[in-house]
Amino acid sequence: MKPDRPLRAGWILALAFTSGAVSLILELSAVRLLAPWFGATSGVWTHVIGVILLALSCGYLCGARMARAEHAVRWLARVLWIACASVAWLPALARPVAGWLVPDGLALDQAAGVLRWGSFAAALLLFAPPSFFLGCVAPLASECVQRASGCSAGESGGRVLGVSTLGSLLGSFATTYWLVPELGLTRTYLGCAIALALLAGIATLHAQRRGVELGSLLILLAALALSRRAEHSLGADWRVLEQRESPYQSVRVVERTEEGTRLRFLQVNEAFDSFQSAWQAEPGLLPEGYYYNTFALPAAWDGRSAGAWNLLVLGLGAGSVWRVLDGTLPSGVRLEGEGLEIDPVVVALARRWMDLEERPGRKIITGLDGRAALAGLAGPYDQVVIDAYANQMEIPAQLCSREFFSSLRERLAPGGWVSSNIGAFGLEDPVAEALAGTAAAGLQSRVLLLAVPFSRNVALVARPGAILPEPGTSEFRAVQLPGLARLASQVSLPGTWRWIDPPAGSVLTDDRNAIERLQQRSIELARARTEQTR
Amino acid sequence: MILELCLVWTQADALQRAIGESRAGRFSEAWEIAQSAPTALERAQASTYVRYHAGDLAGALRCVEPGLDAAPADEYLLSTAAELALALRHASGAASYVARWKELGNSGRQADVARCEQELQQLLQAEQSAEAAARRAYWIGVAGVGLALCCLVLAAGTSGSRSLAVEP
Repeated sequence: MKPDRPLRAGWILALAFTSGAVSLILELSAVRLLAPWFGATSGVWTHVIGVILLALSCGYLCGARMARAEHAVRWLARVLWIACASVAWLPALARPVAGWLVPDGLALDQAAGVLRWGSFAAALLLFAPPSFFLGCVAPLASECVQRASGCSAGESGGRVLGVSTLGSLLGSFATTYWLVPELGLTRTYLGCAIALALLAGIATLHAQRRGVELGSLLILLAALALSRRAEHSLGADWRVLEQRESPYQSVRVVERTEEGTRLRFLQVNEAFDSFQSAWQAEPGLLPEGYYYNTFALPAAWDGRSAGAWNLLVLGLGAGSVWRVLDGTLPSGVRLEGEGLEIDPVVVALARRWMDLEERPGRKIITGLDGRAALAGLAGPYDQVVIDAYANQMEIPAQLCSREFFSSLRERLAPGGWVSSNIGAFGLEDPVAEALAGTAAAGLQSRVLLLAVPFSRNVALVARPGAILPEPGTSEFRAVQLPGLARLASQVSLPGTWRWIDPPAGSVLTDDRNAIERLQQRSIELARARTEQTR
Repeated sequence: MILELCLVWTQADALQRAIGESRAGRFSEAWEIAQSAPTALERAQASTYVRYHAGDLAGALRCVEPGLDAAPADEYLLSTAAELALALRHASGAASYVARWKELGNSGRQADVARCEQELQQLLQAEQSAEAAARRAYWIGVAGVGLALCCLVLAAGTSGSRSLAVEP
């Protein structure tokens, strides 16, 4: 058997650098790959990071055992080749694996059990194998450096860890600011696989042995030809108009015809039966069942017939709120104000496909979180709409705390309104109750919850320091526009509305916010209700 | 006789008036009329209609039961309950309503019954798929963590035993 040729310490450190970079690329892109099926909550992040850390730990210990072998370079080459092959097939495997764990066509309440364990299982199947083999690299590289340079174990270990961590640093920034937005997930993973293959090839040349390396090379070549990320499936009557990757999420615009009306929806990482924004050809009220229509009620109750309606929208998305109010405000009233949307790709697609545009007095602010941007906005606003959601029910914690609602109150004009969409399964839903109680505490006023007709949404309305019409009264239903009058009548029925007064107990705060646990509880309770036998 | 005729007219009128007010978008008025209907059956029919067309599907389903207690074979209530339960994804309730509706044997609505049966099958399949997927995910998680722990124990144990042998 030919002895291995010595591998220079420089090449070994390059291996360590690359494996460190790829590890972080996997970690940061994993949630993006899984988001169309599992969302991007902190629970999903925890599962993904936990699985990768567990796999790395196993890899470190197993790599340490491999490092005792006489031909450590061969083991190094092998683990790199296997890691390369497993990374290369991630794009193609994502959909079959995630689809096996999340069957197509599930509604949100049907997916309670799947959401709890599915992301953990998917991360195990997809990301544990490459992470394990990448974990083997560090101890093997340390051993090789020590043998190549004759230094101490501590020195070789420190050098490898230092270089590997620098690689991780580069990988983390590159993933967020360049790889995923510019190259997309498929090319990112294939690029990582090619980088690992090149370095594995150098190790192989020094190892003087062929075996698993050739098999892995064939797997890599097949992956380069075939491994492509498949999108989450749509129904037969849907058409994808455009889809793009942004630094924040996957974004697409889809279209279908619903009861003779052509509708477009903007979806971000969406699964199940959800969407982020809706559009129809004419401004004004959307068909029944869309919660955006409830955002038009405050202006109708206000009764203004001239001047400006100064509106702040947190979570502008594709501008559905603007479009509804453009068609429902009285003709003498101008819609002005700011719309905040953190993702500029959402705005770009909306400009192209959903008639989103800035007009005199109307401004779109992108790239900033709603809470952060609020600090720079003085108002005063006649209405603030909060609609910053992902996957229909993932509410950012910083946009549902008492402190947040307090800061909103400071920016309202006298008699100003606060409207919010809440993804909830009824007026007693734990998310709806917590959010309404928190809003009542922060706004220091009672809050009205309205069950949106034909929908799984609840609308929140508040008017700090001023009177909000009582549902069912003539003031509540005194709305000129027929469609809005119908809506006001629908949500006047007993049991379709509920007052929430400022609570005496605990509310959601910046320091202590259990919104994600409440969201999981909401789905589980909805699931339990559907399972009750008559 | 005249009183009886007025009563019959009133009974029919309450449901029709509730329907009329609902179609005009005046749901509060329709609800009041529905609640004032003279019999439990008509109250249930009118209330279900009003709630259904106001978009309160869960509320409409709750209105069905008192009417079915009074008239277990009322086709309007059974068919509406079946459709509501399917829309709300209440599989067990939908199965019960669809079966009872089918037993009525109304030849004029067989196509509707068949459609509901098909939707029910799809709903049950989705439920079963979801449960199977959740079990699958759970056991994959358990197996994965178990495998990792075994790997950690074996690797750490092997390293420990070797270090003992290195003592001079």
